[in-house]
Amino acid sequence: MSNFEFPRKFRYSVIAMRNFLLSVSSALLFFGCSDHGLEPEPSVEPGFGGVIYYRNWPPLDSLKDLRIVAFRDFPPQSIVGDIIIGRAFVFPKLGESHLPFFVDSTDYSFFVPPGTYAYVAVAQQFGDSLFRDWRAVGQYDLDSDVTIPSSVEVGDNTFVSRVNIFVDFWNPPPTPITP
Amino acid sequence: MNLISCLVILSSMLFVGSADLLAQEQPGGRIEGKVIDRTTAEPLEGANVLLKGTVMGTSTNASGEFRLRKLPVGAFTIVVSMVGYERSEMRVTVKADALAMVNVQLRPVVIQTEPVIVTAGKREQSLRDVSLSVSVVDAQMISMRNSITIDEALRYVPGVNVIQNQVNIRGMSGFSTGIGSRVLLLMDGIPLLTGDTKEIVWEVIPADQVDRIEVVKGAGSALWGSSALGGVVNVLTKTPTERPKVNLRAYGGVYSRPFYDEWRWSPKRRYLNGLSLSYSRSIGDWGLVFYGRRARDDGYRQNDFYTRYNGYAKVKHRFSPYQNLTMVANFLWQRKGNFIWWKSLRNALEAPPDQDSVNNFTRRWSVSLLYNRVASSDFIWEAKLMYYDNRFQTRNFVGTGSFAHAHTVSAEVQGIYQFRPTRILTFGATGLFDDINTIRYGKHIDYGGALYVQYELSFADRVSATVGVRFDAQKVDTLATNNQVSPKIGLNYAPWEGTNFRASVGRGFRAASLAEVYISAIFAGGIGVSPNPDLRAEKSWSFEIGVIQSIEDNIYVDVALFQTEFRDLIEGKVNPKGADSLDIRFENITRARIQGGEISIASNWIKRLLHVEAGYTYLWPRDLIEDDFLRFRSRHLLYGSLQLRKGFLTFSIDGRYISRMERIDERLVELAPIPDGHRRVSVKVVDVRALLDLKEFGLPLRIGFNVNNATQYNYVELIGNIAATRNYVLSIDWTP
Repeated sequence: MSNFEFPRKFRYSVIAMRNFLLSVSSALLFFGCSDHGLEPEPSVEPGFGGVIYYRNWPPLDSLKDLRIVAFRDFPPQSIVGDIIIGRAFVFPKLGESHLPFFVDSTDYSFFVPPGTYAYVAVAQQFGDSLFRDWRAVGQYDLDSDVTIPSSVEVGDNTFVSRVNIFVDFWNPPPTPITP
Repeated sequence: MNLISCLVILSSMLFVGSADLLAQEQPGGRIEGKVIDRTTAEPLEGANVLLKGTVMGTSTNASGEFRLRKLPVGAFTIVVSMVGYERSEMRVTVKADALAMVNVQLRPVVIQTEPVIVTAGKREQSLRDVSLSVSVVDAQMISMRNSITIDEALRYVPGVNVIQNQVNIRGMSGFSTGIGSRVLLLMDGIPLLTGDTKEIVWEVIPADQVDRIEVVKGAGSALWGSSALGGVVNVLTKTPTERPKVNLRAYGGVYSRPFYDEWRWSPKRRYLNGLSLSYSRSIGDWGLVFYGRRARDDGYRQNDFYTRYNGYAKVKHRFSPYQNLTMVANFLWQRKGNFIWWKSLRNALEAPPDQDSVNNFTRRWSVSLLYNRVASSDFIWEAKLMYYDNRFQTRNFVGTGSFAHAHTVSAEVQGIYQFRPTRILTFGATGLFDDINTIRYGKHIDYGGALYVQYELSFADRVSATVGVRFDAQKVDTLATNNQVSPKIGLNYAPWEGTNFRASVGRGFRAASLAEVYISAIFAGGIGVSPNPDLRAEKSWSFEIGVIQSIEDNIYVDVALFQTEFRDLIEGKVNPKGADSLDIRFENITRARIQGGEISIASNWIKRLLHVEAGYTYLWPRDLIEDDFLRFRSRHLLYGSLQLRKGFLTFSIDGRYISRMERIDERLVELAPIPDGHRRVSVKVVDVRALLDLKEFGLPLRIGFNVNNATQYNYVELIGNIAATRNYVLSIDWTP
């Protein structure tokens, strides 16, 4: 250790390094410090949406309410019961105005927790009883077998579009909903 | 008489011949000498000493001394080379029963233009003299980059693209989903592929014990057989030192927090660390190396950790200066998370629920014996034997999973005979046996053998030609025997000093692994994988022309044009099976062609203070069946490296650009499914490092500091697989 010359050599080395670091900085700029490659997708509120097409509207006295209901399970137990226990979600939310009446079609966007929705239906309240007088008048279905509706998969951070529903008040699908 | 019979008889004749040669141990002339560093006058240990145009050679001991005995009378050119030094040649005259003394001074150079390699021709040759493209990564570069596994050290080799842990040489491999490797990995010249899946497990090789890595680009089955379809990676381990040498190495690092808040999945910092100890020495005719390491990585992604233990031992016994036996033992135990792909790009560092609790346990070990004998001045022979044991287990938290156990035995006998000053014959025979027992593939065996011969001819010290052929026969259980004949032709022409032209044509093949033939499994979602006993080997033909040009000793340029034709490439084919299920089978479905060019340059600047290296590879890989770009390939590979060495300090910066993969496996993205699996970008990575070598101050310490992925660039190497985020690693080497 008698010929220890750390400080002097260190000084020379540091001067050389300074110049080198200038080159390094240029190279880093060349490769693009501002480019960070892949980035997360913008946040998307999970849900689904589409268009509801209507035919053969009934008289106003049998149109007490009209909403979309998304059930986790099929067949569902009951509208009210499933909503209370969190197995079904309703759009527009209860307390808000119902879907518009006497239109040919209406767009909708229904935000729901991620998961599988086995049955998505348009439900009509046809009588005065909020707990009893409900029936399904349309359902999301991709095939001709109306006895089994199509399910909707809502992933994390995904919004499923083109969930279109056809409502014919004179020819509703088999109603598995029990109020 | 069929081809097999001919080859067996030829081989027998050669070995009978070799026995005769062994008997010819007659007294002859001697050459002794010493090799020193011209600038420091320090003796150089490990310098290669070759008698040009013969098979005779040795290396220097710790005192820089070498001895060559029993030499025939005549005039020879002695060639001395060593990594980091300029090659030296001088004429020596050997007289009967006389000693010729030779002292050699080697001049240090930063650019190593002519390292001695052993992979291209199965014998020691200067890199300039071979007819294939070969790149060499030396121990200094591995250490400088603090490479924890060998594949990390290959990431800056021109023309090489590492996808996950699979090596692509000039785009030849693509990605084979963990089943089968289209690049052959050798450890000290012995194949090191697992018995069941024939894949490369990089973790089994301790990077600290590697002397150099040779990467042969292009089909190499004419010498190396199956899996050398797209190239060969030969890892050569360090030899025992003459004097006792202890090395304690510790490293510790931390990953940066993810660049985007959305990707912050863990409240804790993610660390990596490792500790290794090695001891090397020689006692009389015995040389020993012992090594152990523990490494731990928390992983920058969910369920992407590992805890790893490596053990390694090398024992070399020198019966005489011309005869030695080396035993190498290797051990790996590892527990590892099983991150396969992301949950989604929004949760890019998190695993989907079905992957977040799966762990892999592996225990792998190998033992090999290498016997080498210089029988006479014109004949060398060697024998190699290896046993490789692989045990792999996948478990989740409820204890279910898969299991595989594979035994592999490989053996080789090789002779090198120089029957005229300009004629060298290399020949040999190999054997391989695999025995596997797995849940997914069942119990199976495969076995095979090969005979090969290579003839090298040189004219007027300027032109050399190589012709070789290898015959392989492999049998899997009771299935039909798979025979392959792999020829090659190479040419090297040195019209003047500093210039070498090369041209080569060679065939490659990869026999289907037992996994591809027999895999049978049902996965979630009704996706099944079924066996295919009719699977054939993949084949390739590689063509290359190239030139090496060095300008004084300051600039070194290598240019190559290449083309490879593939037939019967194996891919998983998806077949609908019923309404709700799919069946995947490995089938020979793709024909492909890869054309391209490559240029690599190395140069010194500012009085050799600054060393610059760059490599660019252009690839045009086509799937001829689908008439489209070949999957998992990039069109452009660009590497650059700057290194500044001043006194005890070294700084370096490496950059690599790999253009966006033009195609991936879209079926996998859809079927798995992998959310956002199509999202990928070009690779633009910068690594920065500094090294302080305090030896000249009397301190036996070397301190390294690496910043990997310094610009925090986010990219995928494979579908849904973000590569390592920025990490800082401090390493300390203590060598008293």
